[in-house]
Amino acid sequence: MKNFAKNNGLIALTLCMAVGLVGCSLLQTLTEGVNALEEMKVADSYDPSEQYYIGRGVSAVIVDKFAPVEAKDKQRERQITYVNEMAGYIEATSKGVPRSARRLNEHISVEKDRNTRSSTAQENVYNLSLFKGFQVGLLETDEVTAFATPGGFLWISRGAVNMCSNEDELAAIVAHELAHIVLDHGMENYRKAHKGKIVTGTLGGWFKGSGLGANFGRMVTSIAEEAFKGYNPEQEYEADAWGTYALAAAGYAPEAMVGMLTRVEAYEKAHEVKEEDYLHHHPPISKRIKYVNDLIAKEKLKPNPKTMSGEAVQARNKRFTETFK
Amino acid sequence: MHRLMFAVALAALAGCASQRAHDPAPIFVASGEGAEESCWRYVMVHESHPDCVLLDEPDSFAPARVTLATNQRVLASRSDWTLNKPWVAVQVTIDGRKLGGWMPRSSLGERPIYFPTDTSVERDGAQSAPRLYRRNWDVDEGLPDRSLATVLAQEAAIARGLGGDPVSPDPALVRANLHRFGRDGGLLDD
Repeated sequence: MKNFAKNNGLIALTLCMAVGLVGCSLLQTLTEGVNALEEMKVADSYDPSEQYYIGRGVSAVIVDKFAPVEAKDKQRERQITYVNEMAGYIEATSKGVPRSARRLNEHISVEKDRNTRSSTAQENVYNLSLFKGFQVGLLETDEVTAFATPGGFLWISRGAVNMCSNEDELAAIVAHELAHIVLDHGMENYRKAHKGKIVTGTLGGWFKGSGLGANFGRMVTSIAEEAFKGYNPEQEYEADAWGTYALAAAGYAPEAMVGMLTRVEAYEKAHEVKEEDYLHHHPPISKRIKYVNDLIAKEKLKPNPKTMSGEAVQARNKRFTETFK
Repeated sequence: MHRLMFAVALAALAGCASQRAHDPAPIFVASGEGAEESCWRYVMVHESHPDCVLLDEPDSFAPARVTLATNQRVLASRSDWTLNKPWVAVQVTIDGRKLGGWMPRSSLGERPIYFPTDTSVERDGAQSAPRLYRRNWDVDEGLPDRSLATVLAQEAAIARGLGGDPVSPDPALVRANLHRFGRDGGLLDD
């Protein structure tokens, strides 16, 4: 893109010299055009603070659809703090887990139900820094659902929390959703689906003099729609894998990912999830369970005897029950 | 006077020595003989982020040496960076004093952040949300402002719960709370 922009600059200069009629004003305009093309490059790799604002916008669309749990009383305040402490703790202890889809896939040799990613996952320019860390919110709905947005926002439904029988299973949901964020899945989908529109929009913005910002509303709505539809199967496998590693690194039972997926499978059966429902976009749960089990076995992700001692597990489950039940 | 200066110098030397004595972090040599190849990197996280610090060891819960600032330029070990290591040896100079330590790679970047947050606008919380958007993004269409206010209120609740303040959470308190969460849940093997 940079070369393209430079070439455009050269073309602009040559044009000015050849025609000999145009003065500085056109040259300046053409230079601005080159700058606008440079802006397209920026549009393709948003920095952490930009992703944070994008995630905030997407979150606004999510809470427009699902009512959030608000910190109106001590109990709700505690619930919000609890899930945020959990996410922050898992993030803090997972620094060694590869934070790009490509590196994660290079690391894993366990077979999925399909081949490796159909597209080349981008090595993230920033290795996905999260400008303000993770922000986890709860949604009042009884549906079993969760959303992860770029920039570190994560929304988990009460239905999903209630589905879990212990803290480790809730940690599995959190770790899976964190994975979508650190592996940049939301922006990856947006880049794939809307690349042409970013370009058109940016140039449109240039002509209007309003820049990239004019497309922001459309952008967050589009990312939210993708989040509602669910991620593609490759991304779900990646999130399961990253989440399982992160659980182990945090001291949780890696098998909690299997436990959580098994509960989702039971939920799907009990609620006769139809093809048009959002879960349809995920790979079949049974295959995900097999994949995670294979991963645990092959990578020898054993639970830490100390963190899985009766006393430790009891302490976690006590606070989980006290917080949510 | 001379005695006082000598005492100050001695104290400073002792300080440096004791720092080195308990310091497993390589304070790598950035210039001169034996210099390790280094590169400039920028702090990519907000000041309230628990990773916006220089740590004693490559461990999120290690003691922090100093709190850094968003977009602060730091000297990073090039080999740690190019080898994609999750932790990068970093050196900063504060008041003429070189400090070495560790930062997670995920809190560093190759260039400064494009849009730093204007915290003075955020201070006003929910009411300022539409203004904040329009200022930073020039948005005049389609965003549900009321929902945005809800998200900001949620952020404030999280900041208060983890960092003790809805507007300026204390990163040290956030780190302490995350550590306590792990310890209380029997998750830390130490």
